[in-house]
Amino acid sequence: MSEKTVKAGRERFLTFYLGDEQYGIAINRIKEIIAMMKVTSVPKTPLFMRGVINLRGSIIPIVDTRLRFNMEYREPDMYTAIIIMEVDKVNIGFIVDRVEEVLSIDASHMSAPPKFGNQIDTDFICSVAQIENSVVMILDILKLFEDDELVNFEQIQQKQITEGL
Amino acid sequence: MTKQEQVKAIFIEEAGEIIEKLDIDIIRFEENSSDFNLLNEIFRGVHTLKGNANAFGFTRLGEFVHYFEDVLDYYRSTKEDIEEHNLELFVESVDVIKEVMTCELDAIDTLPKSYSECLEKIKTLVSIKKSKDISLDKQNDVSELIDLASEFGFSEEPENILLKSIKAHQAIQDDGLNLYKIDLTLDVDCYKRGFDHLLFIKNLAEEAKSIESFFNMQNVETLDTFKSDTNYIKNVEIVVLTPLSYENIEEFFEFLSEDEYSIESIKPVVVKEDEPLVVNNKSIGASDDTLSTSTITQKSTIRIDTLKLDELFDSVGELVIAQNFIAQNEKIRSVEDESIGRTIDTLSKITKIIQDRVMSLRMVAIKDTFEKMKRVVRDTSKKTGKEVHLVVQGEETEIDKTMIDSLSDPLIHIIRNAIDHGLEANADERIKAGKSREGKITLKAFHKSGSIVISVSDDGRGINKERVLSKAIERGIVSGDENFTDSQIFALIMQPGFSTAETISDLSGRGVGLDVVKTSIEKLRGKIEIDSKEGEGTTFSMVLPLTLAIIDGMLVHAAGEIYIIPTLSVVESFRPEKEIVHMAKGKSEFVSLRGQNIPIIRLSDVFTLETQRIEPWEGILVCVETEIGRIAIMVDSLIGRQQVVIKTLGKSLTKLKEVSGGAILGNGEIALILNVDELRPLIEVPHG
Amino acid sequence: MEFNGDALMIDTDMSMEEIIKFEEFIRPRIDFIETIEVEEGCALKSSALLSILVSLKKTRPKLQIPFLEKGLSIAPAYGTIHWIYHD
Repeated sequence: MSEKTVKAGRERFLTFYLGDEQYGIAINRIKEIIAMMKVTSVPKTPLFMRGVINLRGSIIPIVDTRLRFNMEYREPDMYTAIIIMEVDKVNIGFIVDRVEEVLSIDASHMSAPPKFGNQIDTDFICSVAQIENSVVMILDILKLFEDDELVNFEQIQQKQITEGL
Repeated sequence: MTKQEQVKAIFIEEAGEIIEKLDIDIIRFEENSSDFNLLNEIFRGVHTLKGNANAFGFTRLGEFVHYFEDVLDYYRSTKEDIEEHNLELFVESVDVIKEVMTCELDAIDTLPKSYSECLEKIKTLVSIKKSKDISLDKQNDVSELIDLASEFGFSEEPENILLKSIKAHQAIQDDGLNLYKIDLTLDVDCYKRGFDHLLFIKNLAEEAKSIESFFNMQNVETLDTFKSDTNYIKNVEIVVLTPLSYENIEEFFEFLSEDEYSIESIKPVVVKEDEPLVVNNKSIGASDDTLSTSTITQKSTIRIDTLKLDELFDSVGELVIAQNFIAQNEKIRSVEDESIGRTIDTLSKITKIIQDRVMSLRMVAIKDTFEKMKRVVRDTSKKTGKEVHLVVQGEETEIDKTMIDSLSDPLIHIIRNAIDHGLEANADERIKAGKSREGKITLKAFHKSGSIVISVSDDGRGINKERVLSKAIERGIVSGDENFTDSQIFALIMQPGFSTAETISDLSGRGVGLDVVKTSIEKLRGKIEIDSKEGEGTTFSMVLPLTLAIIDGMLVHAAGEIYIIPTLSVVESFRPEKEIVHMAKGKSEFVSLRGQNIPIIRLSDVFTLETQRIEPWEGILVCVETEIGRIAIMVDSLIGRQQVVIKTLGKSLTKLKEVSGGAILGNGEIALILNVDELRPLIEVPHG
Repeated sequence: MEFNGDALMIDTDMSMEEIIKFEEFIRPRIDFIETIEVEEGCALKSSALLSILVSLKKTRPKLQIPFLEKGLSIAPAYGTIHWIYHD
């Protein structure tokens, strides 16, 4: 999967900020970007699952990307946005601090992610792109929402049930 | 899709329908192999299938069907009695046809082993029969071949096919639609007068719900005498289902002379409900035959992708929500204008009508599923060696299409279970108990207070409560010091890891038990009720919602959010007196109501939410029935009752057991729908 | 109308004029045609087309006309049409 981005050619990425750092995700999975809206919380879910929203009649789960990366919670402001993405044929929203722009990045500008020095788990980063003076970390969106997380989520619930009993 | 692909899709679907019908017919034929009409019916199905298979290059299917057709034709034309083992071969062949069809559709290269085995048997049978026949009477054989050739397309008298078409149309005739049979006998010079049969059909078709016509071209002459602009078509019979009146229809033909057409109005059939249709080993009568043979003709005029229907359904759901919002909006209601009020009323009515109609699009009669069950009964009866008599009731009951698909497996399981475990081990045991030799299985579908109930009853041994209980204790499912009601005991047999059968049989005890059935019914948001009297029999009832998409819900405020409790499970709601609320073991609360102790469930506890704790007598208790007994859900206040469209919360959240989905409210907010069966009290409550 | 070796391709929506021309065309050639393919892209226009196909089949039973042998045609404009032509 991660080898896909190594191949030559230009790809387009949407960049956004979480705190001071800039991240990018391939735009082919992005359905739309919406402003922050009321999120109905769903009990007994991991903290990063903020809940669900009503997107024109469909119920869509929302992940707080900051919490997902073990960053601090931040109150939404006017820049806070939800990026709606299609993962496994299902739409999922990701809350980010601020959406920046769409960048066309040449494969030659991309390199393997560093193994250290990041605030977040490097597993989610499939490559790092050098754009002028800044660095954009390209996220592997599938990893961001991969099965092990869901399994964990199930386990969390199981644990609660057994403890409850 | 290109035209070609569309045609192909239609033919594949048709082939599927034929195979499904074959499957049912062959079982009925096995029960009564002297039914000549049925044999003809099967032959026709196989014949059409052969055509379809060859048209689409399904050669393996084509070859098999070809030989099978030969065999059928032999028996059909000789009217020779069919030997038992050959009858068995027929049933086997239909199974092979089913499998091969799947292989063809999925372009699988390897065929099942049974294919070549069965094909060999059939070929052998054909050659034996044919050689015998030739030696007996050569001339007869030749005349039969000619007879077979003439069977192309239509294999029986046209009148019969016409009759079938009329029956099929009667079956889909709704209120406001009239059925006519029109006979068009245009004169030889009609083309020169500017009339064409197709012209009339086209005009009729524009105003028709369904139209089928039959051209009799037997009088068409060979080229020696043929002239294109002369009409050789003897007559055309048209069956049309239309809202038009007799007078309207007559107008279409006003320029024809009176002897060129006749119109006959056909009265709708009155569908008798709940009349038991007895399917006995020996008692399949002709009336039964006429009923189901019509299923081969076109049932509907349009095929729609179910996805599109779902989308339509979703949109209608939104419409209902929006309409509710308008109807309940305080500002709009405060406008004192009669016409606005009236318009809103009209809007509500129309919305309701649209909702009902769209809902009805998804509804199909359960008949086909029940038909399949006849085979299950037959097979199981054969395997267990028990004589079984099946009674089917309420086949016309309609049920959500999406539900039907998931219903077959649980139903098969329950039926097998009923025959295998429910009925006595053998006829002697039954006779000793003062019952008839044959066990009776009743398959029934009916409506009951907004739900659909499908039940399977047997008149067998009944459930031995003591044995169930002791087994459950032995398996560690229950501890044994609780008091159980009968229904709670019966419910134990559906717990995972429970099986009362002493030996694991090939049939129902395949490692999976009734718990699988229970889970799949719960997925449809239904429940299973078991009722049994020892020595008299057992009834499994699957209680299902009318549709999957909409539920009647009670909206409540609790712990700062709005939740929806399905009204189906709500027994009552009330604000308790302080005196009837008690505490058990200092931790769990319960309420004593009419001598029963009902545990109180706080959503804030279940969902580990931090919220200000109020006392039960400050809030409202909503009493609901769950599979483990009644519980009282404590809420802050009741908001109201409303129909809501259920939506899933998405893959990642479906594992949340306590919540079965979400619904969008009139104001656009989302409320979670509680799955009351998963709300468990923290501690067992002492029994009253 | 297209003639390709042994097979003759015709359309369903032939008018009476076209059918008459078709009749003239095929009369001298009937013994050389193996198959008549009817392109079912459009709805039938005249019942006379069915008649001539039946006549051809009766004149030369070896002639393959899959469309005719199917015995039915389904089109939105006419619903379902069946035909029987055997004695």
